[in-house]
Amino acid sequence: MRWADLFERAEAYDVGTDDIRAFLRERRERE
Amino acid sequence: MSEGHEPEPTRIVADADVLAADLLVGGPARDTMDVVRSHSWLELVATEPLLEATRDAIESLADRALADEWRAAIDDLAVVVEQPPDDRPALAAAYRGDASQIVTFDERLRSAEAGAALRGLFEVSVRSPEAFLAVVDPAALYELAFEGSYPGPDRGPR
Repeated sequence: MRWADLFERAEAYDVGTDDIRAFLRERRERE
Repeated sequence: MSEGHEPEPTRIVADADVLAADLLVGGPARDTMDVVRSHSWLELVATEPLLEATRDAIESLADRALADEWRAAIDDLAVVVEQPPDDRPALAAAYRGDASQIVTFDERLRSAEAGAALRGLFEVSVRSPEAFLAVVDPAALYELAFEGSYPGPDRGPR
């Protein structure tokens, strides 16, 4: 239930894999 | 560097992009993590920097409370190993955690050149979530690791 609850809450956000990859790439470049 | 490294078929690294996509996107990343979550004998290996990068992505793209609760949930699932300061998190997790698989969306890590370079250091398969789902069979992993017949998933994935 814990993961199911997290997934349900995450549905409020419209996020794609490209958004995640772009964030992580920029974060790496900042470091 | 390969001295003492014995990859375990039951140890898997999910890169930060896969962990964040598991929560925020679904699709193959979530299906991959469902495989891990539904088998108690499969071990998710991570490093602190890998988990913090994921947490930061969730906080930035969603919200802090969700990121913090994700971190608490993943801490119950993952085996956290040490990472030297300049290592790439997914590779450090695989090497230090004796993992046999890395699942990532990062094409550079999955390239033939990277694969050849990694094989010189240690044996690890680097796959996209789609490829992991197509190639990796929990029954075969179980039989390889435990030399018994696969009993099926032993816990709910979510």
